[in-house]
Parts: sequence; C-alpha cells; structure tokens
Amino acid sequence: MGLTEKEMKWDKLDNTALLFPVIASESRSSVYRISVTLTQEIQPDKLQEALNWTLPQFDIFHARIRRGMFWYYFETNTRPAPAVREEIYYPCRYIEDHQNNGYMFRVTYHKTRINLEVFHVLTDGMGAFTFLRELVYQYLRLTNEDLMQKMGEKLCSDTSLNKEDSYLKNYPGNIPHKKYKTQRAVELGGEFLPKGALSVMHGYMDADQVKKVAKSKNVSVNTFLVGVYTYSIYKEHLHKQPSEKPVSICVPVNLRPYYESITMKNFFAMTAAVFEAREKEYSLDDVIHIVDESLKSQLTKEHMDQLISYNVSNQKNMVLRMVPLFIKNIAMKWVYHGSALANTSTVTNLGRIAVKQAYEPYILNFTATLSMTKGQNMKATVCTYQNHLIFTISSKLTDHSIQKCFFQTLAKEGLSVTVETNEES
Amino acid sequence: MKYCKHCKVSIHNAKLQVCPLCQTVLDDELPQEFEEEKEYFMQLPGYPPASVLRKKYTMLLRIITFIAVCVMLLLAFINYISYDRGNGILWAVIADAGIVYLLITLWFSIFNAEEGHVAKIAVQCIVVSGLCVIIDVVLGFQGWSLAYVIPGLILLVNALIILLMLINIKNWSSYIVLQIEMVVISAALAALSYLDHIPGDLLTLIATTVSMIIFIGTWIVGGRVARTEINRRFHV
Repeated sequence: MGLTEKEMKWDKLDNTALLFPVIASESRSSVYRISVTLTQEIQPDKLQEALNWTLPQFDIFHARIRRGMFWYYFETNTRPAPAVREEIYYPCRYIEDHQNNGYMFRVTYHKTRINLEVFHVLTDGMGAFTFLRELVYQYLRLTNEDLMQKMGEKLCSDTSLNKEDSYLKNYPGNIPHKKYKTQRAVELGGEFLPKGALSVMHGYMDADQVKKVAKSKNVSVNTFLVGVYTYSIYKEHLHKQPSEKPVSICVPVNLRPYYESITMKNFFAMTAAVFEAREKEYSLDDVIHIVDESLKSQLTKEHMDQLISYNVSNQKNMVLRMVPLFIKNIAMKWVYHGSALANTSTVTNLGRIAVKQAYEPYILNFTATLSMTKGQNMKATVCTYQNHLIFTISSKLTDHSIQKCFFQTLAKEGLSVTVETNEES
Repeated sequence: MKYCKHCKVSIHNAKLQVCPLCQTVLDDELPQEFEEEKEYFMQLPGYPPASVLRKKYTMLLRIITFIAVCVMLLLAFINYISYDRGNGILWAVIADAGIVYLLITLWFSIFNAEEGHVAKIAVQCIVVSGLCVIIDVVLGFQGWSLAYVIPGLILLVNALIILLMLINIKNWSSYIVLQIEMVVISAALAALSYLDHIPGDLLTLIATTVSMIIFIGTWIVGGRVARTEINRRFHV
C-alpha cells in the first residue's frame, strides 16, 4: 500500500529535544537563527532550488514532528520544501508546523543575507550550521557556473549525516550527581518590547585583537566575553551592589569532541558561569577571574558524564517511560519552570567557522541569534569567521544599558567595535 | 557608518542619528581604525523594517469567550433563583454545557491551525459525547446517550475514517490511532452494556463490531506500514 521505504522512516527525539515541543510557545519560540551574509544579492528562485536539492539529503531537517501515546517522534515529511521568503518579521519567530508544510525550520533572505531559523527540537547550532553550509554551497554553485564546474553538485566531504542519539550512545550509567540547581538567579527585567518583537545588536570585532586581550588576562576568548557580559549585568542591573541571587550565565558546551561524536542531532550540555556578588565591589578583572574558575571546574569529561547521566536517567526509567505523553508534558513543564529561573542569560559560542576555500570569496560573515526563554530576557552568541568576531545580543527589553556597558567595556579594553542593530531609530 | 564619541564604538546603521546604546548624537567622522574597515561594513545588508505577525480573530475570540462566560453565569443565576426544589430541572447546566461545547469548537476546531483534522475529529467526538451525557444526566439519566448517541457517533466517525483514508490515501496510516480510539470507546461501552448499565445494547454491539472490523482490516491489509505506524505511535 503506497509508501516507499524512505517515506516510512521515523526517528525518536534525542534527549534534549524532548523538552522543546513542551515549552515552545509564541512568546518563547525555542527557535534560533543562523545567518550567512554573502557578497552578492540573493536570488530567491536559486535559493529555493538550492533548498529543494539540499533538504532531502538531511533526514534531520526533512521531517515533521508527530505526537505518539508516550513520546513525540519524527517521521519523514513528504511535502515539498518550505517556501523561501523575504525577511519581513522579527528574528526567531515561532514556527507553526501547519503553516510551514510541517517543517520545523524556515529559510528567509534580506538583500545579501540568508537566514536559517531552526526549532531547537531538530538540532543544535552545530547541526544547523552544517545544513546551512551545504545550502549556501549549493546556492553559490547554482549562481556561479564556475563554482559548479569546479566543485560539482554534491555534498561536502566534511558534512556528516549521522543521526545517532549520542546522549543514549554515551550514557555512562547511573552516576551519583547533584541535581540541577534551583536557586533563583538574577532575572533581567524591565519594560518589554511589543509581543513578538526582538532587539538584535551585533558587535563586530577583530578576532585577533580579542584573542590578544583575552590572553593578557590569562583566559580564553569565550571566558573573556562571558566575563565582560557578566560584568555588564553586574554593573548595570545590580549597580555593583551585593546581591543574594547570583548572576548565572548558561554556556552550552558542544559534547561532540568529548565523545568523538559526529551526530547531526542535538548533543550539548549546559554549564553555568556563576558570579555571586556577595560583599565588596568587583572590578572587571575580578569578575572575569570568578567566571573563569566557575567554568573551568565544569569543563571536564567527568562533569559531562554526570550531566548526561542525570539527563538520560529519567528517559531510561521504565516507569516514567510508560506515562502517557500529556501527563509527561505537564510534569516536564512544571520541572522546567522550576529550573528555568536558576539562570540569568545564555552565551553560546559557535566557534571559528570555516568554509571550503573555493567559497570563501563569496561569503562575508556568519551570525547567530537566540530567542528568549523563561527567566532569560537577554541572550548572546559568538561567531567567528575569518578575522571577524561577531558578538550578538538579542533581547526583548527596551532598555539597552547592558549592551551599552558591554560594548563600552570592550572599547575601553582597546578593541575596535562596530555595532549594528535592527532598530530603525 | 558613524561614530559615538561617548561609547567609543562605530555604528553601522545609516539611518540612525543617535547612538542606539547611549542616545548620544553620532559623529559622521570616523577614527582611522574604523575607516579601514568601512568597505567591509558597506556590504552588510542591515535589517528590514520588521513587523510582528498578529493572529487574526484572537481578539474576537476573547470577546466571544468573555460574553459566553457572562451568559453562562447569568443563566446559572436565573436557574438558581427560579429553581423549584420539588421537581425543578437544572436546565442551566445543559445550556452552559452547550456554551462550553461551542467555545471548545471555536477555539480548538475552527480557529486553530496547529492541530490536524484527526485530532479535531477525536476531540469533537469526545466533547459531543460528554455534552449528551450531561444532558442525559440532568434529565434523569435514562441512558439514551450511552445506548444510542455515543454508538451512533462511533459509527459516524468510522465511516468518516474510511472516507478520509480513501481521500487522503498517501497518509492513510495516520488514521490508525483514531481507529484504536474508537475501538477503546466502543469496548468500554460494550463492557457497560454487559454489566447492564446501558438500556438496549444492539447499537453498542454494532458499533463495537464495526470498529473492530475496520481496525483489524486495516491491520491485515495495511501490513508492515500499519505495524510501523503503531510502533511509532506507541513507542516507549
């Protein structure tokens, strides 16, 4: 009766993905954006053609989500690829699958920029970047005949199509561990932008300059930026006053290098850079040092094993597995709401992005933007391409004092910063 | 590109007159370190004027819901003050249940793009059954809702399933779960009928038999595809 072998493919959600269908809503979409800016104006028909070619090769993206009795699951989406549209809305808008041919991502464009917005249930930044990279390669081959002849119409040999659930694969068994903290952290509040609006600020810096400044403080680039970000919150939100609640910055860690995984699915763990302003007035260097100590203690294989053990053990519990999905959803939402207020913000670093040399002349930069979640009204990303490091702060607050302090502090440290915003005035 | 003397950063937004960070008026003159990068930044596309997607009908639905709640309370109040304790009827319960059914239909079945038609059919079946049972109970429970209405609904949904499977033949397996739901509901009715809680069992028997035949037929004829669909839906 009808369906081909490919059309019958289905897959379970990975451990991290289980949460997103439960917590996602119009105001907290769990959608993130990865963008690439090219040197040429985007041709929408060629972009659509590139998407039509690329999508079927990535099972992770070529799927729709369905509701089972006990779990959500993916199955192959037999509908045509979603239409490529011009960007007219704010970034990271909620993806309604019934309005998007059932797909959980969208592709938009504006002048020379291509945006890929992904519902986090599909994959993390690494997986999304792999898909975007192949999409851009194919698009550039279609718009530049010489590239097509030189590179051929095929996926890049660096691309992995692996769909392993690396959480389950690397589950170390039940390891005694502390539970996720539930102590409430500082929450960035204030007047909000209109519902659905998102403020985006990109700060462009010389990557080598940033590395030099970070090295002068004996920390990594990531720790330096997280430290400055934490300091900005301490200065502008806490006004350098002692606080019982800590400033806790989530720093997602890509687990693939730790476990030699090449999966396209989600495979990351959340660490937290915690800064507690207990007594004295802290300087920038004090804060960076505290953040460095906090992160260093967590970036070990043993700690990653503990995190995976804690996350997966619930999924492996047979009693919990037999609970109907609608009850699981209520329980997961309740647990999530309890732990979501334990973090102030998130800074995620996509690292130094590399593309094949043949495509480099056509690509200007990459950026990433995060949507807001419960308890976190401001988030940040770091992307480095060639010698440009771009620190992007997204927020649903009208007040920009934290962004102001952040970029001013970087300028005071000797960095040349150029700021771009999506605000019109 | 312009420069903010207060923040010591350059701003790449041609339309901005003031710094988006500190609201100081921007200077057109750039320090040398930024002049060198100007060519790079001139290529950046910026952002279009963005709008927020507003769902149509949300405000209308909220107004209707508010009016409905007011009407429900009013009807309940009228019933309460006019209720004859000897042989009165709680007619407001019937009316309010009907209003709740209308609201569920509006919110879930009509103005809801997120759920598919299968979920809407299942919810309608459950909600209509519930409404009929409420009416039956308020009017003294003669059992007609369980003996006739629900079995009739089950037969109707089974007919709809067959029709939809033929129309939507590419995704015929997505109706298997609805079939299972009909089997479960009709089996529950059959059990109640066996225990003499339902007056008259002919329609219940027919509904149960038809549901099981359709499900078993789908299982046999559908083969591996049907089994895979059930594996997916019920995987633990």
